[in-house]
Amino acid sequence: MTRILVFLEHDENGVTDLSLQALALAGSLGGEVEALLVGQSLAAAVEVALAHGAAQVLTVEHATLANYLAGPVSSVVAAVVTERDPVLVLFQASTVGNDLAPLTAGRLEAACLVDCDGVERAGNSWRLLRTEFDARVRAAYQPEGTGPVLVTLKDGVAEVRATAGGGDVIPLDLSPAGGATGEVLRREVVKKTVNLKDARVIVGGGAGVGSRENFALLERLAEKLGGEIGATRASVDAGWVSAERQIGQTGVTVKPDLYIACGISGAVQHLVGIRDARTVVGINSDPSAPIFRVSHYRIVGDLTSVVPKLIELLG
Amino acid sequence: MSYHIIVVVREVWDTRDLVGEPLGLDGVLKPLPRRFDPEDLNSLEQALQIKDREGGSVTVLSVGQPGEVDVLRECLYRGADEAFRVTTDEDLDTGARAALLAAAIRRIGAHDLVLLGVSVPEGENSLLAGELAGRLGHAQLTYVDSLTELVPGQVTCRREIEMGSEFVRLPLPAVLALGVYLLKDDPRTPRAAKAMLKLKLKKAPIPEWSAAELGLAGEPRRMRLAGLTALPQRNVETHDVDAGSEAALAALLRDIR
Amino acid sequence: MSDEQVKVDVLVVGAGPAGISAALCLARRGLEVVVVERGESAGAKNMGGLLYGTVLNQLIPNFHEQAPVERAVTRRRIVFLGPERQLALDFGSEAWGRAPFNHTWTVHRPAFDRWFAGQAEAAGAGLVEGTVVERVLLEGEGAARRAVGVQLRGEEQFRADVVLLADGAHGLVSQAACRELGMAGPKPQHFALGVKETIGLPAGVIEDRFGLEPGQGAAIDFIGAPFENLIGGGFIYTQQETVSLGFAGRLESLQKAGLEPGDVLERFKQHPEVRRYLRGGELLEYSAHMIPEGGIDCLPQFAGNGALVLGDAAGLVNMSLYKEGTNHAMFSGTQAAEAVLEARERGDFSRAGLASYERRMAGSAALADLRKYRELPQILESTPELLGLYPDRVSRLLVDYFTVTEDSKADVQKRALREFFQGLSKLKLVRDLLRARKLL
Ligand SMILES: Cc1cc2nc3c(=O)[nH]c(=O)nc-3n(C[C@H](O)[C@H](O)[C@H](O)COP(=O)(O)OP(=O)(O)OC[C@H]3O[C@@H](n4cnc5c(N)ncnc54)[C@H](O)[C@@H]3O)c2cc1C
Ligand SMILES: Cc1cc2nc3c(=O)[nH]c(=O)nc-3n(C[C@H](O)[C@H](O)[C@H](O)COP(=O)(O)OP(=O)(O)OC[C@H]3O[C@@H](n4cnc5c(N)ncnc54)[C@H](O)[C@@H]3O)c2cc1C
Ligand SMILES: Nc1ncnc2c1ncn2[C@@H]1O[C@H](COP(=O)(O)O)[C@@H](O)[C@H]1O
Repeated sequence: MTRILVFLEHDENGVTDLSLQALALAGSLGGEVEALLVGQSLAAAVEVALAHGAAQVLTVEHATLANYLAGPVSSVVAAVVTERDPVLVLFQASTVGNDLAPLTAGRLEAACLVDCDGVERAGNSWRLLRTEFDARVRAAYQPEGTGPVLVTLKDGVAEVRATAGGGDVIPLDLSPAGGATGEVLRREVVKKTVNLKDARVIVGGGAGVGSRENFALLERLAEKLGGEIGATRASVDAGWVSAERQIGQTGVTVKPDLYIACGISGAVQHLVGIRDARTVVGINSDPSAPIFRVSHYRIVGDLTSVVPKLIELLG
Repeated sequence: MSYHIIVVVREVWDTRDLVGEPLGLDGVLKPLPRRFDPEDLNSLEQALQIKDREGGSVTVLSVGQPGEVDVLRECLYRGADEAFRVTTDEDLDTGARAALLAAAIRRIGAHDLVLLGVSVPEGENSLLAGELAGRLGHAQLTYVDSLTELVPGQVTCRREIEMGSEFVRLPLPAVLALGVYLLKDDPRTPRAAKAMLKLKLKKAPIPEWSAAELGLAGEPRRMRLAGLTALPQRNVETHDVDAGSEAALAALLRDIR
Repeated sequence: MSDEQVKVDVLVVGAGPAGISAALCLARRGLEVVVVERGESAGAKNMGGLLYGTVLNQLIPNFHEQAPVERAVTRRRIVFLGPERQLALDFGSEAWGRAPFNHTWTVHRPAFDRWFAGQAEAAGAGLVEGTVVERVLLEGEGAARRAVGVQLRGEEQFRADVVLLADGAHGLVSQAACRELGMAGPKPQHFALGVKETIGLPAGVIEDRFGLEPGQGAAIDFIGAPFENLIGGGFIYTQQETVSLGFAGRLESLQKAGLEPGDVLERFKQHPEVRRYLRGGELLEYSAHMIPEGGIDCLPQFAGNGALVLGDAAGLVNMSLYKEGTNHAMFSGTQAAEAVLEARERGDFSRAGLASYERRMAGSAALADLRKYRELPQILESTPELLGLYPDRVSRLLVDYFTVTEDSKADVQKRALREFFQGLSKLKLVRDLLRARKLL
């Protein structure tokens, strides 16, 4: 029987959606699905895992694991992999998974691939699919040799599926490797209050917006259109908008019907987040801004005059 | 206090101007020009600034023969103290590269930090940093935006995470993968090469190590690229809208609502 | 060389044929010379078609045995184009296929310039690539104002006894320095725009299409149809596995006719006489470059205090059918080097100390050529028929002559001649032809 181990990420909102997608994918690949939870106070997360297809839930509870940090967590994960001997270990393509999987693979000298958007069986091995080079090619990778294969999965690999619960819970008595490992001093994260993922209309603002006051203009435009405000990392870093509105590689991926990009240059890291927008309107004073490459409507101009006009026209 | 920093650098395809044209899939990206991995240039700058401020030295290291740009020499032109090249003739997977780099770093000797970039063209990840740290047994941090404090024995970094950032303190030596996002007029903007150093170091020998010289018999390949297919590109037909014309803007609003 | 301040004997701005020739000569004589080139590598952005190699052959005897030359030119052709007709003058010699190969080569400038720069480096010259010279550093006032080095982009400066200005056509550094040092010419330089594409084709296909022996090359000049309204003409050269084609046209004439260079090139490529050479080829490169074409009347004063101006920067291009620039550039480089050596012996790098460069140039064949073609710019300007109407008529004369009809030959020939002279004033024609002689 092949065993697939799924590392589950969880935060104060519980097990992450991406983790549940990974569980669903594991279930579809056939074999025995084991979930691994590492941290503290895991009871609620265990229930969720069991209700989403985990035949077994392995838990490692330890005070020093309360806050995710690659070093200690990966020492634990490596130990679990060694003990349970899975053929495939699934992580999430997040800043946790993409951090943890390679480090664990390095410790185990195992095969690893990050950012996969598909995993298929191929005989005795796996076929790992990944979108590369700015979504221009789909690459297929084939792990070789023996030993576990560690993979991180991108959003959308599988539909989250609830199943009849009722597997075993196996607490493992492991503690992180000793020695100096560092610590998380503090986290500055915003609480998620908006749901950009499902917004039909998004008005995105970048560095070109220039000030918090100008951002208010975008808010009015969004309001008139019944939409939400989105942002680039530049405008989040400038403090004009909250980080939960950041779209792109380290922000959210959105798929609105209409995306109005104001003062956004169109860096790859931003564009990956709006790839599925149906219609894109670009407003930028630089006629050669890369955002226009993906814009259906191209408005070359100063947003501080164009946006008020749009608001006015909307009445 | 002075620090010895190792920066791991490479050359990448320059995909910036790749618009619309399909890739030559048999030659993969062959027709594209190559450039110094911009993320690695940011890491180098970070290391050089630490050296400027605190003293110490910067060593640069790369796996593979130079292509269009000799990234190691470019590092020397910017002020790196030493460069080493690990020569290979095959296209290696990340694990094998990590094994070579780990061996080379051991050969280089005592160090405080190993800096890498998060790769851009293939996607935003940092496979190599983790695999390297795992092999070296060093502390590791990825998606590092800035080093906020460096004192003997430990470094504090700001790291990008979903919905914000976190500040993490790590013991040295540590492996950091930097994803520096440059603001306008950012003081972290990579410096230009110095003409005087170009004059001096153009022919300076760069020591090369083969896998055998590093005591490696050849790392097994664990991941093989088994196929590439072109993805249909979204073909955007762009309509120009005259920013100065109310009628044009009104028509646009009718179209998009 | 101290760590903070670089001071050398001679600084050369630009690693083209002019700058490198000078650096090579100076380095061979033991001077400390540094060439600063803005391109990522010497020749990276340079273009040009034929290399006339007489000067280079003196610098590096039998250079073709080691230089990356593409083909020795054994066939030349001058073609008059009508919209869909041509009349060609095709000539060549077996002897051109043997040493010294008529000193005419096709080269791929990026590769050739890189090699040539390597020769200078091997002789001991320093080459700093990927570095832009912002301006020449000047000291002193009035007549004593002199060049003392260069300011590089960024904070660095390099100092030297002499600065050789070899930054090519429309070189901003040399233009500014010439102004400051009172070296500007009597008339402002004017320029042609050269536009070129490189098309990849297998060597065998090139040899078949151009009727060449393996390794030998062709150079074709085009006058007429796609370039009517333009002061300029087109060219095709064969390299080893590429063909380059393009045209050069006076800038003002392009602007006056409202022509886009890309469109002109496209029309040229679509001409039946041109198209068939390129069929199935793969576009590899597109480039554009200025060519100084003012001739003898637009030359600057070659020497100033602490500075000499060389090659295209000095306007040393013969824009007749020979289109000779590279050779003159190399020649000026060798002469500048000699002048620097003499000045050094006397320890005088003032304009007077460097004046032997001016004397050497004045007595040279290069300047004799420019003198010969003194009137070329003005003739072309005042007689647009030479590049438009006449080539068109010439291209049709034999075509009409040999057009087969049911009429008697006498009628056909009479008609052909009538067509040829249609609307032409015989007097003007004779006068224009006499003027055109000066272009040959
Ligand atoms: C590891 C990593 C992860 C990243 N993740 C993300 C991410 O998730 N999301 C993200 O967005 N970025 C991300 N980035 C940053 C990304 O690379 C870009 O730097 C960022 O997207 C640029 O934001 P911008 O377009 O707002 O700013 P700029 O690139 O500065 O563009 C501003 C634009 O505004 C235009 N403009 C200026 N004034 C006006 C005006 N008055 N009217 C109209 N137009 C005007 C300018 O012409 C310019 O095109 C990441 C970077 C790294 C290294
Ligand atoms: C389309 C075309 C066709 C031609 N055909 C022919 C031909 O058939 N035969 C022939 O003999 N000649 C031909 N020429 C002319 C020939 O190319 C030039 O005469 C020759 O290259 C001149 O050499 P040079 O060294 O003076 O200048 P260049 O070769 O132009 O070299 C100048 C160098 O200076 C560098 N530079 C400029 N500014 C700076 C700066 N600020 N800092 C540092 N470096 C700088 C440039 O990058 C360049 O490398 C042709 C030219 C063109 C454009
Ligand atoms: N061949 C190589 N030589 C040196 N450094 C490399 C090499 N390949 C990758 N790197 C480093 O690893 C980082 C991320 O690479 P990767 O994880 O392979 O996408 C790069 O930014 C470099 O710092």
